[in-house]
Parts: sequence; C-alpha cells; structure tokens
Amino acid sequence: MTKKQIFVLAAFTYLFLAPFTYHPDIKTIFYQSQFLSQGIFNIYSFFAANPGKAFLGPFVYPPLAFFTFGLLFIPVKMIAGSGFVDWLGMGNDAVGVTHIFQYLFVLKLPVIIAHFITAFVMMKFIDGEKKQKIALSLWFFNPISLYTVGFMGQIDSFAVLLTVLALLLAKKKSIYATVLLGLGAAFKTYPLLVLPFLAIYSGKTWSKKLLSFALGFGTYLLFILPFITTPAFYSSTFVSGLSQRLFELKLYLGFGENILIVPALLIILFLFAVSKRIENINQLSNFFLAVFFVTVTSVHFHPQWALWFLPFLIISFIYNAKDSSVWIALTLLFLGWLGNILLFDDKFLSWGILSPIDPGILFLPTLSELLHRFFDPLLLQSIFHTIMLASGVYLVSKSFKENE
Amino acid sequence: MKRLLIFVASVICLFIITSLFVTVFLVRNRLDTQYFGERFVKVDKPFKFRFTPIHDNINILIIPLKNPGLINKSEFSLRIYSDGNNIREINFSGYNVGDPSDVKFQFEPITNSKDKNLDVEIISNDYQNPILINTDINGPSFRAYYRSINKKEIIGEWVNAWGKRYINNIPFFVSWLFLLTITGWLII
Repeated sequence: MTKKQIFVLAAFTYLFLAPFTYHPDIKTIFYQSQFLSQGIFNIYSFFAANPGKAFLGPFVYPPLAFFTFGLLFIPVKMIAGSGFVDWLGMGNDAVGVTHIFQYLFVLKLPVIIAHFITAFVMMKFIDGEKKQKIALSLWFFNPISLYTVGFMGQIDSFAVLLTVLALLLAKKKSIYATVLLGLGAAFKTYPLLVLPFLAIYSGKTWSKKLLSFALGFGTYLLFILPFITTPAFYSSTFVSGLSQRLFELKLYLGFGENILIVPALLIILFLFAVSKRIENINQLSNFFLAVFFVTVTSVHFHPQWALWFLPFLIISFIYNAKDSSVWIALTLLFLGWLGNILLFDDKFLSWGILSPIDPGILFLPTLSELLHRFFDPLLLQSIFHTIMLASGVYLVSKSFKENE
Repeated sequence: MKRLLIFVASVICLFIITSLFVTVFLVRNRLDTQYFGERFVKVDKPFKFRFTPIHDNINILIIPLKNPGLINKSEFSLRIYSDGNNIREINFSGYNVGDPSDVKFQFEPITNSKDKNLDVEIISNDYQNPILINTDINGPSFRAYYRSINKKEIIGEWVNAWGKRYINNIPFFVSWLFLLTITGWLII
C-alpha cells in the first residue's frame, strides 16, 4: 500500500463515520462563532451583555478560535443548507433533526482536513517510505484520532496542526516558528507550554532565545490584547479547563501549603532543556512530547487533549518501532485512553455519540452508571488512567534514550 | 496493505454492529413525535397543547422550558388527558427547570395511545415570575417517546425510519455515497 492509498483509505474511513456520530462541542462552537458574521467582534462581552444568546454556554476558547470558526461558518452554512442556523442553537433535540447527517458531515470537514494536513506535515520529520507508512497508519487509525476527530470533530486538530507546523519551521531554523506557536496559543492556550522550549532551541545566545520567546508570546498577546479589559474574557478562557486543572495534582505540606506536581515537572523539564541544550529537531520534538504528555495525563483530561501529544509521540515512536516493548506500551496507552474516556459520566462520550442513529440512545444510562451497579467505575477509570500514564512515561523515556 | 484494509473494515463493521446492537437490544424508548418551536413565551396561565401519537405505549415527554435566572421555585403539574379523563399527572418544581433546559417527564406507558388525541396541560399554583416554554403558532416544542421491547417490531421500525431518513436526505446521501465510491476506487 502506498502513502497515497493510506491517505485515501483514511479519508474513506473519516468521511464514512462523520455523518453518524455526534458530540455537542463542535455544534456549540459554530453556534457561538456565527456571531462574527453579524458584526460581533468581542464575543466575550457580547455574551456577558446578552445572556439570552449564550444559552449554550460562554465562549471558552481564545479569540483566534472565534475568528477562525466565524469565517468558516460562512462556507459551512452555504454547504449545510436550510435549517442549519436554527439547528446550531438547539439542545439535545438536535439529534432528532432530519438533516442532522449533512450538518454533522459539513461541520466536521474543516477539523478532518486539519487532521490530514497535520499528517502531511508530520511526514517531513520521518525518513524512509516504510516508516512514513507506519506513521500515517498510526496517525489515522488510532483510537484517539478516530474518536476525537472522526466521531467528535474536536477543534483541537487546528491547534495541533499549528504546533506541528511550528516544529517544522524550527527544523528549518525559521524565526517564525515561535510565531506559529503564538498563533496556536491564540487558538487554544496550551501551545504556550512549549514556547520556552522552542525559544531555547531557536536562539543560540540568550538574547536571541529571549527574542524568540517574545516573538511567540507577542503574537499571542496581539490576539488577546483587544479583549484584555473584558472581564468575561478572563472568566471564560482562563478560569476553565486546563488552567485550573494544572494545579489539582499536589502534595500537601501542611499549613495550607502544597507542592504543585505538574508545574514542578514542567520546570524540571525546562531545566533539563536548558542544561542539556536541545541540539536537534528530534530532541525538541521529544520535549514537546514530554511537556504535553505530562500536562495531559497528570490531570483529569478531556478526550481531545490526547491529540496534543499524539503527533510527537508518533514521530518519536517510529524510531523505536523495532522494539516490541514500545508496541506493547503504545497499545496499552491507547487502551488506557479509550477505557478512561468511555467511563466518563457523560452520555455523549459513550453510547450518546451514536445518538444521530437513534435519538432514543440518549435515554440509556452511561457506561459509568451501568457499571456502578457492580463496582466503582471511578476506580476502573483510575486504573485505565494509570495504564495510560505508565505506558506513556515508558514511551517518553524511550524517546529520550533513543536520541542520546 | 491487507492488514490495514482488514483493520479499517473491522472498524466500520464494529461501528455498524455496535449501532445496531445498541438500537435493537438496549434502546427501550423510541422517538414517536417531535415538534420544534421558534421562541420562548411565558407560561402565565395554564398552558395546553394536543398531539396524536403514532405509537402505543407513550411514556416520555421532553419539553424545552426556561426559568430565567432560576428564580421560579413554584410547584407545577403536567397533566395528560385522553377523552377528557386525566390519565397521567407529574408534579415538578421550578427547581427542575434550567435556564433553559429540556425537562423530561417520564410516566407509566399509555397503552393504546396510537392515533389517540392526548391533551397535555402545564399548570402552576403561582404565575409570578413565570417559566417560559419554547413554542410557535402551532404549538410548543416537544418530543414524545414510546416504550418498545418487541425486537421484530423494533427492527421493522428501524428499517422504516432509516428508509424515511434516506428519502428525506437523498441529495446528501447520494453525494456522500459518490464521495465514498470515489475514495474507494482510488484505494484500489
């Protein structure tokens, strides 16, 4: 099978699955971003002033996500056809609408395209036809990609594309690599976590490293600056998701003081990067992998967050693929991730994802509720999370060892 | 190539089998009737509407209601009448209504509900700070579900429902199948 055939087979699979699976997130972001075409620039203050329009919740992403999906809304609306805008504003009754299949198909297309472009960019880091084919197969046909992109249509694939593009520009020694990370952060804040590592790699002297960092952070600031005086911007984007969860894992020292584990691990990684110097692009990729992996697996993560480290995991994995232990670890990682997310007490993460096929599915108890009759589903979920963490740590350590 | 094709075929088969299994063996409550409203209006007096189910054993009504600012904490009743007789009554409170939310009313299945006019009434003991209901000129937004455990009937209805969905979405499904055929042809 050629690389082209793998791409086409992946296209077939994703296009086949897209119309029949539903998660409300992608509908919500398109509903919220449609206000751009009505001339709304500051969605945060608009929702704060018009709570009646924010019935699907506040806009929780940084501004570039609003602008991107606000612009995408125009062609998507044209292709989706009549009734689409009303459908975006619906609650759970959205699954019973006659044209849901075409709506879901069109909504997911931009996300799927971004996922495919990421695959194309990833190939620039992998030498050899055989390795590239394994990487492509892993990228498209792993449970994380299939579930979060094909089934859910999560917008993280845009930010993931920008982080991989940043790595590509870093490989080419372009100063704009950090700009792309800044753009990624303006879309979804997490790429900021690897900005210091990219800055260390990009600049030879400390002043150049700082300049490089400033360029990336400045790009991010440029997008958030117009919203900096909007209180709703802080409450919606900073006081939600990752920024809060980063501080959840801690060691209690007494007297109300804690050691924050995730920030501590990130600081250690940063110091390693400073001391060892990041000498080649594979080492930088490994640091991207380590930072994102530690961040995601040390918190109660959203399913799509696993996409953040996936490209870098595959890039590093390919060079260790001869070792059977890494295949076992990778399988365990995917199994741990899948078990973890299927046990979320969220109906749209288990059976509910199939609700366009039969809206009655939404009345079924979640897997977590079903298992609750026999044993503690949280314990089982924790076991899956632990499997994912342990196998991932093994893979990350292998990737660093290989690079030595 | 073979292994990847087998994997993809397995994923697609697993998806279809899981969907069928869940629909036929796990789902008990199936959609009977749904109606979509356009705007929220105040329920400042008893609110009534009528619908005619197309199945027996209607057992769930889902009605989008809105309690602005979650202020209303009054007691409410949802009553279902058939031929003027009160056949089901569910009490609920303003606490159960979000801003907005799909409020689910589940009750004992109404046998012989097929083609029978059911009158639904929502009343309260207090109409200050009224809740709102999503509606248009013809009636409110709601979904009615019926209980069904007869596997043969379920499969027949499922096939029938998909036939209707296919007919109602012919331009999309034709384009989608065309796209899949092209990609399938490119693989070969």
